[in-house]
Amino acid sequence: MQKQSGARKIDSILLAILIVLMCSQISNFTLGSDKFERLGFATKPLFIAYCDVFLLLTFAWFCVRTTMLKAWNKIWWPPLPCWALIMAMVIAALHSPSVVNASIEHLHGIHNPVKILKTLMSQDAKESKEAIAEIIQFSMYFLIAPLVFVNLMHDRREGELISRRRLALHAFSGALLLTTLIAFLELLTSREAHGPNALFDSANAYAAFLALTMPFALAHILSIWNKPLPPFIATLVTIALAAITLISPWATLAIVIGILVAGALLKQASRAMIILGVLFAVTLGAWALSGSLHESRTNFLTVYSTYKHELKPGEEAKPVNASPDLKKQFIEWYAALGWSQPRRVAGSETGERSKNFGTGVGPGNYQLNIGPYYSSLPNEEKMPPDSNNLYLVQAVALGALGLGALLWVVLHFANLAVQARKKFPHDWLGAGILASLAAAAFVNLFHALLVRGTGLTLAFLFSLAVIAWLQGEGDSQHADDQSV
Amino acid sequence: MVKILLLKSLATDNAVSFLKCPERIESHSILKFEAMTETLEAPRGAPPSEGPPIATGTLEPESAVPLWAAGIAAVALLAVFALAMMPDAKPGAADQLTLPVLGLFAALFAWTPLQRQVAPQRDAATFAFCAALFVVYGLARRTVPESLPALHFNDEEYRFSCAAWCVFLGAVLSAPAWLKSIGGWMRALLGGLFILFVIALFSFKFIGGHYPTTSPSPIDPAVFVLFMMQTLEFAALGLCCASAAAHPRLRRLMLMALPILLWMVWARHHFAPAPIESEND
Repeated sequence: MQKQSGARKIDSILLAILIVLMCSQISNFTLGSDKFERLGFATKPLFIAYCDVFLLLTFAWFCVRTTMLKAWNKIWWPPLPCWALIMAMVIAALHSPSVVNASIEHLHGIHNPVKILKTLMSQDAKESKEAIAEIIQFSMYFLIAPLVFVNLMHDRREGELISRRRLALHAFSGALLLTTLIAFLELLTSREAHGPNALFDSANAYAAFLALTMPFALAHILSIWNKPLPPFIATLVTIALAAITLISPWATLAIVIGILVAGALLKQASRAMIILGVLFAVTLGAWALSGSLHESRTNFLTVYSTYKHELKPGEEAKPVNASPDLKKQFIEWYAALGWSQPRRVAGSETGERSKNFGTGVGPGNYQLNIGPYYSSLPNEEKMPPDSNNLYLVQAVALGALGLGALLWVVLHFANLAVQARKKFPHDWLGAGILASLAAAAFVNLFHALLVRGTGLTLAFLFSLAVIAWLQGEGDSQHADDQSV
Repeated sequence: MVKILLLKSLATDNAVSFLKCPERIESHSILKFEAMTETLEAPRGAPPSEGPPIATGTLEPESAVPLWAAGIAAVALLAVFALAMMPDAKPGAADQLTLPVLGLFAALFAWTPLQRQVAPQRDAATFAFCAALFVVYGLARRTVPESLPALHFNDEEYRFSCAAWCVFLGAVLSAPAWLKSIGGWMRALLGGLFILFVIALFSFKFIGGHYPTTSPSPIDPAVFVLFMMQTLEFAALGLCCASAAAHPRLRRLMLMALPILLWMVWARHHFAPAPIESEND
């Protein structure tokens, strides 16, 4: 038995804290000020979550330690699709007429590089600020986070291989239980009027997070079933609390899809049906309760908007028998298609027309551009937070190139999970990741997972796909047995 | 530093050294964390010299790709470059900025030692072609002669551009090449376009069912038609890129020529710009 060095302990502690923090979106750091009243929604400040800050701290520690160990040639590097995605974002930013024209306007007469950077990130140059912020955010989620997660969970910088797979999975399970418990407490105390959101910014972001993570946790218990009992019970409690606190039926449906995929991959159809039965009973019970959430939940089941239009002076009211408008969530699906249409670029003196189907309107510029695409479609109601369609958001912002690159990343790691299933047939990890990705693919139609910081959890699942490929559970268990 | 990182990520055996580790098996139980922290040997059943697969999907051997099919796709792509130099292209400030920068990126990947890493990888080369061509095609498709056949939808006429016909023909005729070389990138691109196609079709039917598409209606059918046309065009363009990248010799040649072609398009519009479009156009 060898005593662990202090640095190794720090690695383990940082990894565990990062995993716990990524199950939240608490953000006390902001960039810029809120100019909602003067300039509109799109100039709201950028929120930086604690998990993002902690990721950068962990990365800094990782860099220092890897340099000291002279181990840069021993570590795992993010694969080509991750770099391709960042490249697609850079091209989308450079090729966005609104970003480029606004930047040219703001940079007129400025030659100092520091001043150029400050101006591009300033509140007034909102197009370039959003683009730069989004590229940094995606670089963190698709390059830095997988690099840190994989190399800390499968650490061979000191020569020998240190596996922190079990530590990571235990921390993740604990964090999931904690998150759902917090949401349950919010439900009991009726703290959140629009539904429990745990430590997330909105109930929709919380729902998307659960849709991504629950199938993974359930794949684990489908695999181990009731041996050992404590994790089995803990996961059952987590799924029950999730079913009680979820208000989005789309997320619930995504979890069902995830369970079915996990059951099929692990060849545990009967166990999957039992879990589905429990989930169904708990969900039905929770929905039948006549609480403050009953209206929110019922509202989710209708395609019509409940928005009440305030009549302006001289305006005629809609006829009583006129059908109500559709929900803005669905109207925006059609409005977003307008990005393929030629449109005169604001501020362009040459009458330049934007036709960027290939590269989009620029990273982070979806909200700045979606308004004009509505044309004469109803656009009075405010969109509920985190209810965008991720595929359309990414397609409008990054174009076909960026959407393809994003899906390439997902397919690459899904393929790794498939390979891991073939390589270690008795390991559940690959099946869990595939189940989660299947659920995410569905829920992204209704709640964009990458828009508000839940990208770190996706990066963690990608990293687990690499870990599943590199080391099977059997090997890990075998090492345990020998050490005992 | 960026170059080193890219070299690392592009290397197909980037996990070769990663998996090599001592055979000693030890365990630690000092902290609570350490109970879950194990020192392992390399995974059993896995050859130690094998890293995580880079490309997604199984590809046919490159020798099976016919040169003539890849050549047809390359000709179609060259036609797109030629059309992008037409006066109708009228690039804006963003195009004028992107083209030379893309040329620099292409030169970095094609004319430096990075080429040894990029050129052997079909997926990397296909992505590089797509990244460049998606920008250039945006200019090329602005040439739409009235003599081209028109599609009719809701009493409106819609025409595919010359560039669209080039890539459609290129994609169809080079099918023997791309059918054998659809890798991870092309699957993702076609998958993404298919998702968009389905969403567009669904929302047009769904919202069109609620708001009638006849005048006066907030639903503009032109949005739907133009979206579908571009989805098809960019899918065909992607397939042409996949075909051109399918043959190793042609791929190297195209990669070497890519920076020059991009700079040529930029230079054409920078030094001999077309007249500015009037407000009434």
